[in-house]
Order: sequence, then C-alpha cells, then structure tokens
Amino acid sequence: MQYLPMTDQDLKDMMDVVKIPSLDALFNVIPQEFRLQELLNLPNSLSEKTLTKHMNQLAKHNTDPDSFTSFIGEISYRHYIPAIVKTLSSLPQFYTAYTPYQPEVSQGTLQAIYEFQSLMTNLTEMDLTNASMYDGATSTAEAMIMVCQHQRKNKVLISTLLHPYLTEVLKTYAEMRQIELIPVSADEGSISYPELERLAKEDPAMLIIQSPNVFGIIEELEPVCTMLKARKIATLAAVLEPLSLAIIKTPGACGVDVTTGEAQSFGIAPSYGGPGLGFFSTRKEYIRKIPGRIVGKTTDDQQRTAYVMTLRAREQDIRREKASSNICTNHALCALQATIYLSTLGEIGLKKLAQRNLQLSHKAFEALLGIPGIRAPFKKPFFNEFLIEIDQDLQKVKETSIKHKILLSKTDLSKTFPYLKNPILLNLTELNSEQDIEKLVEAFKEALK
Amino acid sequence: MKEKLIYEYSKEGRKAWSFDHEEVCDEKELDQWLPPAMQRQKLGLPEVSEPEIVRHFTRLASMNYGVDTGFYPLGSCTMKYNPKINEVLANEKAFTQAHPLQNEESVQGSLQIMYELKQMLAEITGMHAITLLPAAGAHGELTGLLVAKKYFQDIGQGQQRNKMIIPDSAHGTNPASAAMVGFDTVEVKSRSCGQIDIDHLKTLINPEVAGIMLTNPNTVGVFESEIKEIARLLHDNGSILYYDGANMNALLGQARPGDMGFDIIHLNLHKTFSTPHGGGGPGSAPVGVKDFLAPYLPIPDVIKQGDKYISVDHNDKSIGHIRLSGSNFIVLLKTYAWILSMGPEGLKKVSQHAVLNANYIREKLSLAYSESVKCICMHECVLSASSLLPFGVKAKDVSKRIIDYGMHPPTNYFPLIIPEALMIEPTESESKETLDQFIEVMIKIAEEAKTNPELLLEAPHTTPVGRPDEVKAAKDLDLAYKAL
Amino acid sequence: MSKIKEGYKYTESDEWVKIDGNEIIIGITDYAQMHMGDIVFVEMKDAGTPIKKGEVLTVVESVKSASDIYSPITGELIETNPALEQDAAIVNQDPYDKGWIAKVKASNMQELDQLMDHLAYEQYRKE
Repeated sequence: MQYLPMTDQDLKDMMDVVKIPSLDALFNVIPQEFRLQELLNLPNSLSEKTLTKHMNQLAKHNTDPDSFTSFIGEISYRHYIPAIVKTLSSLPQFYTAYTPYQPEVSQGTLQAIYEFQSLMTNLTEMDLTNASMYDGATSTAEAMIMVCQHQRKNKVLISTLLHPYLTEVLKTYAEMRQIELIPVSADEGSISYPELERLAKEDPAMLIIQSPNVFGIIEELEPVCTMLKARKIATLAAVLEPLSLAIIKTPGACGVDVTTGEAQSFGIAPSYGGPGLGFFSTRKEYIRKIPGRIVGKTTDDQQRTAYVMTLRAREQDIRREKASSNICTNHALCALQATIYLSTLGEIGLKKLAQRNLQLSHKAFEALLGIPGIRAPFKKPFFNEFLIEIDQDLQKVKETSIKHKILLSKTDLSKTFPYLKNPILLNLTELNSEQDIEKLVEAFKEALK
Repeated sequence: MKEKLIYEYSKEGRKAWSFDHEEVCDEKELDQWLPPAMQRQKLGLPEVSEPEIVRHFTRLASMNYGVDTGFYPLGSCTMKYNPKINEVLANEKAFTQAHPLQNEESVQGSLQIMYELKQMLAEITGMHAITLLPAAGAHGELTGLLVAKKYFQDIGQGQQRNKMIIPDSAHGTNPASAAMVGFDTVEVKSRSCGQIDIDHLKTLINPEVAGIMLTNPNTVGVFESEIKEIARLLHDNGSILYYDGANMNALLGQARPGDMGFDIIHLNLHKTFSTPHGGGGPGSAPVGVKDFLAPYLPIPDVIKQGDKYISVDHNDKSIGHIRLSGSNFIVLLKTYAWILSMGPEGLKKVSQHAVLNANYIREKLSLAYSESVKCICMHECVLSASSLLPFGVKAKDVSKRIIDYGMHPPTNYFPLIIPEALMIEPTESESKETLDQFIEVMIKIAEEAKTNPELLLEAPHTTPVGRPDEVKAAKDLDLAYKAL
Repeated sequence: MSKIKEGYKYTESDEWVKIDGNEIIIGITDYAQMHMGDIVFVEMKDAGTPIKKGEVLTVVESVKSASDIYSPITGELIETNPALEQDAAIVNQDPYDKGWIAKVKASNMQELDQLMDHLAYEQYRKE
C-alpha cells in the first residue's frame, strides 16, 4: 500500500503551476550521471494483507515468548506492562507529534515530560531530571563528559562491576573525549573501598559506579560518596534496573551527584534492545550543564500555567560547536510510557512490585543453593538478580535449559571476570513464579547429572 | 482548558495496579534479604485510579497537535503520514518480548528483519555497509564521525586530520557532533541559494581536513549541483565526504548519495522512512559507509551464514559499542514494513510528489512572501517573512497566526543564512486540497500583517495557552514537582 | 540605535572596557544586550582565576542564545558581578554601569592599546 493522496489530475494541475512538463523535470538539477535509470532493486509493493502475512511468518521465526520461561535481565528487564500504557501512548496526538518547539500546540507532550521529570526526580531523590536520553549507557556516557568538563579534569575512576556493555560504551565515549578511565577493582562482589581510597589520590573528576551492579549486588553508596565528596570527587551512579529505586535506599539519598540509567523497566517492552529510555538526574549545581532537553513550568500572557522547553541556550541548534552535547532529541514517547506506568503503579504499587521481585529472586537463590554443584560466590544483599557458579560446562547448562523450555542469557561473565567459574546470572521478576523456580531447579539438577 | 498535574489527582488509597493474592509479600519477610538500613521508605509517586489516569492523559493528548491532526510542514523534519499497520505489526509480542541477550536461534525473525533492512538501505543509498545501531540523527553523526576518525588513525593520519568543514547553513547537530568527536570545525560559506561557495571551499582544503559534512539537497532545499566537483576536491585531498541524510526524502529512487561520492551517510528513519516522531523520539539513524570504512563500524552487527542469521560482537578495528544493547528495533521494524509497502515504484513517487508539492507552494507564495529564496527547490522551500518586517511582524508571528487557522507552523529561523526564515516541507502524503488551504492561509496572514498586525503579534488566540513566558521559565526554574 | 558610552574602550566582540588603575572592568555593550534579548543568567567564576587575553571569562545566557565573554587582556580575575547572580536582567537595564560583568587585574596594560575608542566602535557597529 502506498500513502500518496495526489491523483493524476492533481499532479497535472500542479505541474502547470510550477511550469514543468513532467515530474522527471523536477530532478533536472541532479547531474544526469547520478540519476537512477531504473527503479531500485527492491521487492515490489505489498498490500497490507500480504505485508501482515509476511511479518507473521517472520514472527514465527522468533521463539514464542509464551512457550518459554526467561530468566534474563542484566540490561533489559521483563516486567508486566499495564494495558493503559499502550492505549494512552497510542493516542495519535502523542505519537504523531514532533518535538514541542511550538508550545501552544504541544502542551500535551510538554506537560507529560514535566511529569516524567517530576516522577523520576522524586524516585531518584535528586534535584532535577532532563527530558530523557537514548538509553542507560549513552546517558551515563554523557554524564561522564559533563562532570569532566565541569571539574576541568579528564580522569575518571570506573568500577569494574559495571555491566560489560556499559563499560564498552563508556570506553568509546571516553576515548572520543580523551578521558582516562581508571578501573577500581572489586572485593567480594562489590567495589573495593580501600582501593577506591587509594585511587582517589589520582585526583579524578569522578567515580562511575553501577548499583545494583553487574552481579546484581547492591553497592553501599553512602560511605563511598562521603569519602569522595571530602576529596571533591563527584559520584555518578548508573542504575540499569530502576525498579530497585522503589525499595532500596536511593543514590540520591546516599549523596551521589548524578544518577543516570535505563528506565526501560517502566512500561517499555524489551523489544530486542530498543528503543530504551535513558534517564539523567542531577544535583542543582549541574543545572546549566545538563545535556539534552528539559521542560520548565511557566505562565503565558494571561497567567495560565504553561509548559515550555527551557535552558535551550545550551542546546545544539543555538550553541552549535559549543553545545554541551550534540543531542537533539529525547525518547519522548518512551518517557510518556514510563510516565503512565509510574502513575499507574504509583507510591504503593511500585514498592509492592519491587517487594515481589525481591522475594522471588531470593526464593530462587535459596532453592538453587540447595543443589550440590551450585555455589554463590558472593554473599551480599541483592535485588532481583543474582550470580551463581555451577560445576558444569555452561554450554551443557544452556542446552539442558532449552530442553526444559528455559531461556538463559547468552552472556558469559567469565570472559570479563576470569576468576568466576561457569557463572550464570539469573533475574526473576513478577513475570516469573514459584513454578518457574521449580522448573529451574529441575533443569539445573539434570544439567549437573 | 487547564489540566492538573497527575500528582494533583493523588489521594491516599487510590490504586490502578492489581496483584494476585500470592504476589503480595509479607513485609517482615523482606528484612532477612534486605537489611532495614538499606531500605527505602517514601517514593514520592502519586496514588491515582485507572479512570483518572486515562482522562488525564486523554486530555493532555487533546492539547497536542500531531500529523494525524493536520498539516505539519516542518522543514527538515519530514512530517509524513505514519502508517497504522506498522503500529499493529510492531506490537507483535514475538518481537516486543524478545530480549537482546537471548541466543540467536531464538530471535531469527528479528535478525532477519535487521539483515534485510540493511540490504534495502544499502540499495536505496548506494552505500556498501550499514549499521542499524544509532538511536537518533545526532547519534548517527557521532557514529559516522567516529568511524572517520578511526579510519584516519588507522592509516597514520589521526593527528594530522583534525578539521571538519561544515557549511554555514548546516543543522546545529553537525558542528556539535564534530566538536564532540574532537574535530575543529571550519565554516564554508554559501552562495545565494544556500549552495556551497566552491571558491571559498578551495581555500579551505589542506592536509588537516578530515572531511566535509553536507546535506544534499541542502538546508535551503536546493540541490548541490556541483557535488561532483566538491567530491573531487575532498577526495583528491585524501578527505572524506559525510552525508547528513535529513533531506533524503527528495532523493528516494532518483539518486543515491553513494553514487555522488559520499563515503559516510546517516539516515533518519523517523523522517524519510515514516516512523512516528513520538513527540521528540524515539527515532533511529542507520549509518552507511563505503567498503573501505566498513571495518570501523560499531558492533554488534548482523550477518548471514548459510540460512542462519548471526550477531557478530567482536571486531578489532571497530569503534566499539555505542549503546547499551541491540538497536531501536521497533523503529527498524516499522521502516522495514514501510519500504515493503511502498515498493520501488512507490519510493520514486515519494520524492516526485514531495518535490512537486514544495515547488507548488513556493510558486504560489512567491508574491506574498517576496523576499523568499527564488531558486527551484527540492522537497522543501524556504520563505522569508522579511517583507513583513516593515509592519512590525516577524517569522515567529506568522507562525503563531498559522496555528489559529488549524495548521502547524513551518520551521522558524532555520537555516540561519536566510533572514526571518520559514522552512516548509509538505511531504508526499498530503492532498492538493490541503496544500491549497495552506497557501490560502499564508496569503491571508501576509495581508493581515499589513492591515491588522495585532492579530499576528498576539497570536495564537485559539489554543489552550498563549505564548509562554520563556524568560520566566529560564529565570525562575521549575523543572519538577517535588513530592518528598 | 544603540547607545555607546564615551570614555570606555571597546572590542570587536561587543565588550566594553573601563580602566581603573591597573584593574579593568568589563561588560557588554548596549548593542550586544539588545541582540541577546532578555538575559537570564551570567555564570559566576571564582576569584583569582588566571586569565589570558582572548580566553573566555564567562558566559552570558539569554533565552535564545549564550554568548562567551572574552577577556581583552591577560591577568587575574578579581570577581564576577555578584549582583547578577540574583538578577541577570541588570545587564539589559544598565549595561554600562550596574550591569558590569567582570573585574580583571591586568598584568600588561599595553594590551589595551589595540582596543577601539567609542568613536571607532560606533563606526564598527554601523557597518
């Protein structure tokens, strides 16, 4: 199906006005040698019916999500999405709108973003949040650049317990900005405080730490922040599972300067990696350095409340090469979905959801540790994800799991952490159940035979 | 019509969530797993019921104007129709519930879509290798420029090639991206129709130039007819050409940036390829390169081995990872569906209709907006409201008045080289009646400017809010409602 | 028509300079503040910061733009105008007096010889 309202008569009438003999004449400005002589080599136009058939076929080549039980988390988390998230974010005035450059006709988008900013600011216990960014890694990378510029330093301490993909992105951005990344080693599954104290003497701009970290363990941010603050070193906490904010003492309450991360958990399906939702929250002092968009509340000429994009003098279209970042968009629709999700779960619901996540993952943890051949390398508090080591080749474990219709992550953490022996990360959310835990136990028992 | 904040609907005890009986935990049980000192108390979120949430967001939506509402001729943004079938197809749970860390055997469908899309985009653009990873145009530029930087480092010219030439008419992300990647930007002047001043360009070419970033047609909507000469100048200098694909809608099926000599391009799927803008995102910006730059593309990549699709996550020369995982897959899926819907004949008609529409508008408004760019344009035209300045009226005021007539204003004040610019991009998915209506409105407003300028200066009159006080917004910063 | 103050010196980037012994006071001209529109923020800088001629002293931000203020001399920053922290709009209201932006202690007063006087600036801005 083609979406072209012009009829042949319309085209003719318009060509008369423009005074051209044919549609091809419009492209005479293009040198002849570059003009395509034939149609592009692409499949012929499909009707909506055939397109649907084709896409349904392709969908069948993906594992039916209802036929398998997944325990994969790490960078994307499976959560139940209430129906109204989809219904409301599918309202055409939301999703077919552009960036709210004309505030008078965009109050819907602008107020929704202000609400997103508000919900996330409260949830993280920071001072302000921007209108969102692409994902948890790019938001963290941009925060790294911001703090380095603000401190006029280009050394950054980085916890070795970030998810490897997060570390990789930070490496790409750090190399681009000539920022030196200094790893801070781990101790028993969380950041080594003595090592951190020692490296603080390198006079870095900041520490980047993830909590819960790659092993699912909750980092003790308060003593870290306090120690670093005394040395005028900033702390940036990256959160990849933001549901943890509903139950664990927040980075904000622990005194961090910047909290960034991935908010996909809030109403956005994993979707094979994207789109996600980067969030970026800071203390007041960074207000004029924040990359990306930000919406502010004001009034109009009749004193009515109005929302508008503000602090735009920092952005690319005005500062150009002096902009704090090149970012031009935000993930507005994803932020809207998160806003609806957080409004739906709310003060009580989100906490109860986090409690259920905590409970299930701990029940699974205890059940698995009861199996000979399975060990927990670390014994520190975790949220909804944990690490086990198993006395069996990982390949065999994965194959056996598939037989039991269980999906495990393809990540092999022993590549990043060679001291781990056959490590497996497991994440349980409210989409899992006690029956799932039984299945998991059965599968692992068989794998260990 | 004022709409409260969601927080203002909150009342203790209201809820919109539902848990099964067995899902509700005994809070005392939790202390054994999470020490009380580590626990959090108040979250600062509202407590609202579902019907209220639905009304709230439905009312917010009604204060918004989208492509589905009416004409949205934002120049450089390509606000074309977003097909509904694509929204339905993207909702398929086999795709939405696929986790990026699942093994490849379980996501062959998603991988096939990505692989085939790469082939299609390579064919459309004339490039050799495509990455689908970048999340937005600016991210695509960053990626493309990092590829260029890595290439020069690899051939031992990394230190030397530190300059990027950028036209004075360029979109702000171009110099911002170049600066972010570590290039010094050098501005090249434009001539009357926004085309590159070749004589000035020649003076800027030297061994320090890594490349030039061009949009073609340029941001004034005019084709850079001397592109062959520009390419020759840069290539002879060992530099590369970067193509900002924002204006690709003018070239679909007519010409390909790869054939014109571009070495790196980025596309905006949320512009040219019909995916919804979402109020500011998410988008997607695949980057295409010529063979010699393919080794530097970011990872992971999708390849085909036999009849299986594989994700490749290692490559020594790659610039590395540029995002947490995957790609903006849902946006890619909608693009894939749109290309299949349009077919090669349809794609050619897209550019034909888009370019005709823009020229039709330009022709019909040339009298009322006499200072506008006179050159034949492609898919967008730039009018100038400067002929209305003597009446105390600016481009901004014209825009605000267009709103009163039920249409969305065009882009204002861009490109910077045209005073009081109004950049109009109708796209191909508009009817002639809509275009005629827009033309009528614009002519009427030009008249109003002369006879009754207050109508413009105080516009819009028909919207939920009038012009917001932006000074107050920047001075008395209120960026969040604090509940805690 | 923008106002120009006699007795001050001027730069091509629309800053004015008032000499006070070996200290200089810097601000932006009436032309500059008109062009920028409502000024909402001026970045405060730490006293004692060393500064070179041509380096950015601070940033003045309006709703629609952000302009770097360049130092016309080498020396040490004494202070940025604390009154602007509360009310940046003073720069619009009184650009040549109460809206001063920075005070710098000069290490080489001769660097100021290259600046324009008020007539030269008037001519410069006419073009």
